[in-house]
Amino acid sequence: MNNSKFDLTGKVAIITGGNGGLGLGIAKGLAIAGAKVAVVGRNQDKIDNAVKELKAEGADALGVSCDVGSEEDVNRMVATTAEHFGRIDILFNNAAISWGIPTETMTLDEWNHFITNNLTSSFLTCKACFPHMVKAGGGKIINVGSIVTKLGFGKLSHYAAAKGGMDHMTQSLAQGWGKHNIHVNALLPGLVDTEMMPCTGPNKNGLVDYAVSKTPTGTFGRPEDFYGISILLASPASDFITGSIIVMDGGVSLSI
Amino acid sequence: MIKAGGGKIINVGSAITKKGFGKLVHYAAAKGGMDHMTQSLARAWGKDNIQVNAVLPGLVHTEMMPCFGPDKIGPVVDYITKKSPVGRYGMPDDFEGLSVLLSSEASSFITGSIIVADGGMTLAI
Repeated sequence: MNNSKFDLTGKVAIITGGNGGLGLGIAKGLAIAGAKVAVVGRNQDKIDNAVKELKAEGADALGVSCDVGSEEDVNRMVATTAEHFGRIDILFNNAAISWGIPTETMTLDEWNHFITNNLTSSFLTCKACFPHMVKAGGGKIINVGSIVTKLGFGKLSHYAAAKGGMDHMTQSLAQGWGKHNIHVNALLPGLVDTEMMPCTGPNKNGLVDYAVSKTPTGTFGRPEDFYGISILLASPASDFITGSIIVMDGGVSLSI
Repeated sequence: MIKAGGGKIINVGSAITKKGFGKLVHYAAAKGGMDHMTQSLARAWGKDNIQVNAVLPGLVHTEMMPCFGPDKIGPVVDYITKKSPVGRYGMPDDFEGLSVLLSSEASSFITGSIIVADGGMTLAI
């Protein structure tokens, strides 16, 4: 076994929504494997804290503020990262928003807001990173979807539609950009303890106990559970994996 | 595995279960059964801390499917390689990373997953 296949030394990764929760977990995992990481978000305080945490663990980290729904902002964020680190090799499209709205009362503005932030954002980041990845001789794109696309949730049609679009964007991008040595995969997390879905503490979501009781592993996920798969999909160890949609949910989507 | 406090089972299926192949009904049925056995075993044995996943390889150079040399299965290999997003067939060492992940603690939150590792072949043929 050649451990160099997991080595990310000298590689540069952008993680949208990397200033907290699962995204920060992904950034920490990539940093452990040697990557330089740009954590992207909207909340400057959270960005500053994330960078501080990463640096405390020895990572070369950059915080970039960005609204991923804005083309101008995404282009600036990617240019800033490329200028700071000199290249871009890895992109995790992890930023997302989620709350339930019954379709029958949803406004078009609400629908468009979700599609823009959860789907169009990935189109914008992929497009902006593409020339940098071509210049670097290849790249790795990981779209963080959701197991909602394996199930049905009546109040999440807007979120599910965006994430379903992301799954299929993944497959077509994999086919389209394979010739540029860019591998594109999707990772579909289940229940993970984050700010968006607190699984412990006073703000614990009411669904947690039910979901955990139904989960084959008997646990919710923690951001650090995603270190391994993130390193795999960002590294040469996954050079024969592209267009794959990988469920990572402790088996819960099979059981509820 | 129970005695060891847990375990990791990886069923090596085939990307064929994502497609139809007229002369491989028997093989596809067996591999499809394996995919679904994976899901149900994951559910059944999760409480015993046994994680069960499936890896579905695409075209990989092996004795069963020589991709180069005198025994190369010519037309199939050339066609798939041409259509494949990564532009090549797999080699056994392409599976080192995924095998390490699925055998280690790093995948303790992954169970019942069916992971295609085919260079994108099934999306493109």
